[in-house]
Amino acid sequence: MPLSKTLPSLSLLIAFLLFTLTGLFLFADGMILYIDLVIILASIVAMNMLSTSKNFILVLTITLTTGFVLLFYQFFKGATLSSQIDYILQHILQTASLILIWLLFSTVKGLQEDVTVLKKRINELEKYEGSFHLLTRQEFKNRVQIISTGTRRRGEENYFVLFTLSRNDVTKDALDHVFSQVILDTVRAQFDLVTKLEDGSYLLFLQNTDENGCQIVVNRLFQSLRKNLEQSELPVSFTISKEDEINKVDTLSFMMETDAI
Amino acid sequence: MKIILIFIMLFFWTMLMYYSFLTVAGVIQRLKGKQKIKLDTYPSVAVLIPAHNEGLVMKETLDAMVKLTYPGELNVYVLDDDSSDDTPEIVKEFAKLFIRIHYVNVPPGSPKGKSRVLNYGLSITQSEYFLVFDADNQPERYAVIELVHAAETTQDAAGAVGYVKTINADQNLLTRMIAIEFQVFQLLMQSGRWLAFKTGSLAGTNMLLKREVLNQAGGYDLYALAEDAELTMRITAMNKTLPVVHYSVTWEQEPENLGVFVRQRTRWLTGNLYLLEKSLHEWSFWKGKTFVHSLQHALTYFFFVVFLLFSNSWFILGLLGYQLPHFDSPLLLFWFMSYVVYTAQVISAMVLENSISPYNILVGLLMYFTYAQVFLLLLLRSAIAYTWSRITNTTIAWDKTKRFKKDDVRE
Repeated sequence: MPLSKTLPSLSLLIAFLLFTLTGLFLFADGMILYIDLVIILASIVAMNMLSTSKNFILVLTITLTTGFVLLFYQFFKGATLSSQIDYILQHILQTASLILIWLLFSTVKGLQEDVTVLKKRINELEKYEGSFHLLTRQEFKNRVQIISTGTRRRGEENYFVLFTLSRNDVTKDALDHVFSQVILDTVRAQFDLVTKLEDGSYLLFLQNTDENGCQIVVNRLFQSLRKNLEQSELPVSFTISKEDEINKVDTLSFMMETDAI
Repeated sequence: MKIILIFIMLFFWTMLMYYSFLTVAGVIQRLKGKQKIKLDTYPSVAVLIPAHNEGLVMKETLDAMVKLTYPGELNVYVLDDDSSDDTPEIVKEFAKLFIRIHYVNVPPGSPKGKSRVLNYGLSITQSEYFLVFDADNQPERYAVIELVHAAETTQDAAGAVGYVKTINADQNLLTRMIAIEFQVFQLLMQSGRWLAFKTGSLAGTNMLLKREVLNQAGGYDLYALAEDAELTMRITAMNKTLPVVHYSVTWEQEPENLGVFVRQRTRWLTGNLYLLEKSLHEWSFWKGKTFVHSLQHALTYFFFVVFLLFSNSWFILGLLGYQLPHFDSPLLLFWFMSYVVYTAQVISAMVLENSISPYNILVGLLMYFTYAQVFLLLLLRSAIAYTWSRITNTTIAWDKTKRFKKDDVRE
């Protein structure tokens, strides 16, 4: 159901629920009212924790059980026509309240699921992360796969360079900003790929190069960084790994797998 | 007299509680997660389709048969029982093109009916399993494989039985009510009883059986009008189980007008009366799990009706002013609970089938006062027909359900 229809139907369900609860207060009295309220409150707590389908079993069981309890109670107590009508009315109101609560929970849980699915989908579709043109990890992985297929066919080699930044709490955001800018300026925009991993390190993919080429890129990056950073010893360490050997580089393969969205 | 009254009241109360229990059991069973099963080897299956003048529906049926996905050997045999329309031509067109489809001309014989045709089909095929579909059925792609998975992985399984859904539910009010009735029946009598008693019933269509088990049982009973129900009893008496697989679905047509509906149901109910009579002199029909089926038959087709007649007579005598023993009981509340249980079954079935809509709920709420009451009239009609056939010692003719042309085809 589209969101434009879901929200009004939620309001409608809440309005009906208020109506049936008011009815319960008006028509049920004494012990029965308290029992009804306890059942409804307990159901709300349970429904919050259980799945929509289990909640349906709960509503079904409560409806049938309370109906039979009332029937036996009336049988042994000695029923009058008016007491039976009262009990029927309060059973209808109680059942209606439970069904409305179930519908409310199932609608909200459905929305929750939709939101989760949509967020996941958005993450998959997003190409860039944050305000920089860093690729998202999913996009990075996808592009690496596509490029690798071509380079393998041509017999070319690709390399990964992993940059780890040592940050402190005060300067970490500023350092990230500078490093992101510099790394994007340093690499070839149309050929090399950069992403930021979950732990804050940066992964650079360089295609059709060798270890020497990687070192040149790193040197160029460090030179640019020095223009922005005071320290003679830069707070950045790096690891160069050949793409074919990535499985042997534990840290890197681990990050590539676990960070996939 | 008072004791009889109390007994009748207890009977109705027990029935009501039993059906409530089955409803909850059915819902629990339906909500169970599906197991992933992959067999090392898949047994051979012969699909048998008895057909008599099925030209209106045969193309759609065979389209669906071609689409069935099954990793093992699967052959489809259309058993043509003296069709005078274009059924043979349609089947032969398919058989020319698809290896899996076969046309079989069943030699004439008596008594007429599905049982004889199926027995002939079994005599000319040799698969490990056979599966029966009615000629108007459009099974879903994985219907066969799901049944085989259940049959091969359930202990003592004689086969497996799937679900039947109504393809023309939207046609009119009658087909809508039949569709809801099917959903409720399958929820309670199939899924509910499978969870509670590990017993299922053959549904006449979308049912898989091991050939060996049927041979041991002695084949189909030629005189049974409800051949599926009758065979269920004999198989259960052999201590075999019939797992219910709601993932295996076939779509079928239901009667679109009252005349066809009445004739179809009269045949079913007459078949059940035949079975009730058979259970009175067959001790094996009360042994082990067969007891569940026989008791259900006796309760539904005999005790329920007799007690209902008794209570109705009681009501009328009271209205006419006869002095009757007085007995206090919350009758209004009891009637209300009957309605609650019935409606709970209907709504549960709709929730599980994802077919809940304001219109369907309205139809469901009305069914108690309309559709459900027709059962008694139909049972009365069947009882008269059955009694007359017994007195005159004649065989009731097999009455084939009329088909309707439809436009929609399930994927």
